[in-house]
Amino acid sequence: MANPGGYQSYMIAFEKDSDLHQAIEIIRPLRVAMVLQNVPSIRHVLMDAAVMVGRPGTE
Amino acid sequence: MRKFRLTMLQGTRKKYSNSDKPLTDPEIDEIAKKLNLGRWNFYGALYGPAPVREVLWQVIKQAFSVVPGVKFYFPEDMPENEVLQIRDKTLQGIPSFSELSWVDWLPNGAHLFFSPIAKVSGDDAMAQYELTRRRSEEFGFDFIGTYIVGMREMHHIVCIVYDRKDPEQRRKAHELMKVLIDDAAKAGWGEYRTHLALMDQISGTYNFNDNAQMKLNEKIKEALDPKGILAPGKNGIWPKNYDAAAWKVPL
Repeated sequence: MANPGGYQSYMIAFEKDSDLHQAIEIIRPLRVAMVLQNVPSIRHVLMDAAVMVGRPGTE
Repeated sequence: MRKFRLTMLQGTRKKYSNSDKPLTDPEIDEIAKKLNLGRWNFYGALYGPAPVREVLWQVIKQAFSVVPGVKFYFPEDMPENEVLQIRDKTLQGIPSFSELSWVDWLPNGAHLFFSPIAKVSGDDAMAQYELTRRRSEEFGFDFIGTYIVGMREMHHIVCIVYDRKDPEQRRKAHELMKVLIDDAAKAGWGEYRTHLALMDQISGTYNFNDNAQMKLNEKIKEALDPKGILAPGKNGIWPKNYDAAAWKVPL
């Protein structure tokens, strides 16, 4: 994509399994207001754990 | 590199557990702690000149700060977090194969996606998570999933990872899909994409108003493709000269 003048990715970690509820309630108005500018995703920990398994350069 | 290949062969799950049962909540908590992750992890990006990014980040941070225990990270804070490093590229339009490597969770890893659409609501997210995790575990699979948040809906993607060389796991993954499609339909949820083998079943769940949509689809099919040359059966739309039942993928 063309450089929009700057870029910063981020991750927000939610401690509890049940935090999903509150997280989605917070995400909805932010997404509608386009404060969240892209299509973000909220991933279950095992999806990330399945990727983070000591591939070259990660341990 | 050698270690990498070994992990791939055995399935990466082995790195965390030797249990052959779905991982329990305490086991999943342990994994989250070890990897410095939350039980749920939200990946996004800010675009634009620095003052714009700064003000958006302030709003985002403030909004999420009300969640007890929430943590905020930039890729440079977590060089060891491979997923965050990958997302950093993906969200600026640079794709990778490694982001799909969750499929190596099991040896000979393959996947079926169960993909219901959800309202952007905490209740719907929790209800779909509860249902899909419970059913996955009943069939012996770990829940691996993500919610992708659009403006008005979420794509909930449940990655059913199975060993493609294990006939029993193949059968269970297929059966799990069938059960989930029915469960979801009962709750009023529909899927937006699926494997060819499940298209008939899913199109059957969109049968409200006396199956009006399929009747229209079939009329159009007959008018545009009377000999049934183009993708017969795609999305459950069969040409007249095909017997759909004869093409059913057996369980």
